[in-house]
Amino acid sequence: MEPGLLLEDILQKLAEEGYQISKRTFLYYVQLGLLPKGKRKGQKKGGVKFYYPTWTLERLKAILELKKKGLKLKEIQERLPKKAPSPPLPKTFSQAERLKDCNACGICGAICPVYEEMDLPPWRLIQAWEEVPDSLPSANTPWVCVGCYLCETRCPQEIPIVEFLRFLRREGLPPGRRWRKHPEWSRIFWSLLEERGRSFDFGAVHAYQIRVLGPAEDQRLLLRLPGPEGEKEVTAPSKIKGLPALKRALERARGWK
Amino acid sequence: MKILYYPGCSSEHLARDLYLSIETLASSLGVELEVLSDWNCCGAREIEEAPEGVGLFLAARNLALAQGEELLVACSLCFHNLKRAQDLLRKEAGFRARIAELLKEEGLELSLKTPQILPLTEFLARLDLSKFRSAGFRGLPVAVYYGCFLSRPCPTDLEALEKALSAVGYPVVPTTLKSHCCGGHLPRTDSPVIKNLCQRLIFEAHQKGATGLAVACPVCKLNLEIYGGPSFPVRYFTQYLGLALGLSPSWLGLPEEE
Repeated sequence: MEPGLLLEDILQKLAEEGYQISKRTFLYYVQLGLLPKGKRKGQKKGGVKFYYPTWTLERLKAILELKKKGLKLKEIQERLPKKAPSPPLPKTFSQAERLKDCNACGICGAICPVYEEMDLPPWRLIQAWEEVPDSLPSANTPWVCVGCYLCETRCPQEIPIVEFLRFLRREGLPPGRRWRKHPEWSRIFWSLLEERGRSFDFGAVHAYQIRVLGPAEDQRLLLRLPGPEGEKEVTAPSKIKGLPALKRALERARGWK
Repeated sequence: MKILYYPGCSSEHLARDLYLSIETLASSLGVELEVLSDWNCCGAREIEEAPEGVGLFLAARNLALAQGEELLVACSLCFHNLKRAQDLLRKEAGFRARIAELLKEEGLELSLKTPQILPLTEFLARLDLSKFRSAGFRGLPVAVYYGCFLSRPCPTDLEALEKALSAVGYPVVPTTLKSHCCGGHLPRTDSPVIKNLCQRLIFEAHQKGATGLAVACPVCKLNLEIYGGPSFPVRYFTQYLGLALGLSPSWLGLPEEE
């Protein structure tokens, strides 16, 4: 069974998608019954943690959207379904069959240039997925993968390892353990892409600190470069002509299951 | 000669020097770059956490806009994203139908066959560069570095950089790590591993007697410059080519004293 999500994970995920909510507000919503209660679970290292069902995330998003429209909490409560939604369908990796070929030879871990940063090598996650897909051991592996494809080219069984890790990252698996120090970048990237159709070369500026000032129409981007150049201002990307259609299409694409 | 060209977001910002050198090089080679009209961002690394449709759509819109046989792409990550999407759309009819539906919003249609996505390395290697070489130019030995996305999973010609640079007079030093990884997005996570990866690449080039490293990808270049150690020059291969053609360093995005 999936243990659920920690409060911190829920807040981080929401922050990445551009929602702002504090821990305190979250707990207040739980108290009001707007959100489900967390399940108490003892930790091996001592102490307890509370795990919330995964649908909490969607429900909280729905609440925040309704709040944006100016609805009061009481009105929101009336609008939201009372019961928990039916359990989500098990997540399926489209090339799951090919994972069965993994014979745990360990090459994917050994060849990986960033293996030192991984909690578990890719093959361990593949093996765990083969046993019980819904209960992966906690690991940062999908987030550490830089997608260099070295493992895929060397895998004797030609398993689509990078695609599998991409799938896990997309689905937020394994739950509870993520490894991203700068979700803010991701948020800025998407907001620029949606407001302009073009974004910033974040692939390249990931080493820098970035500050965005001003509203969408008059954005100022400041980059702090390592080294003597210090902070410099750069122009926001130019806008594309087909922006309204692009926005609509992106929204539909986001709904892909 | 005219070629359709996808600049990508980095052209407007931190890889401005790459694009400057491409433009300068193209005009001196008599190549007309026709910028893809109304191109959009390919989604960079961020699409990996979005539903598959998002990345496919962003790439497909560009591919549908590209009415021509070939589309020239300079950035390695853009190349990877466009190529991966094209391959996937060719293979999976289900994806194709759904993407076609999204493209209808703008009246766009995706062709299965065209365009052929052409990396800048291959494009320049197939031109006869030797006849443009500046008289009296004597190139110092350089090493080349392709990085991941030109090597895997959709391999491009991994002799292209050598061909282009030696055609204009640079002795190219052979290296074993030219397709290895520079650490990609690792700096975003403050990982110390990236230093090792970058320094190893620089060390090899230096040990083998190269005076500089010619790279093709904006992310690789930044990583190597920041983490590879201070004293070894890392430049875009287009900048090296431009210098051999006798073009002014400032037109190539290089400091004047080069």
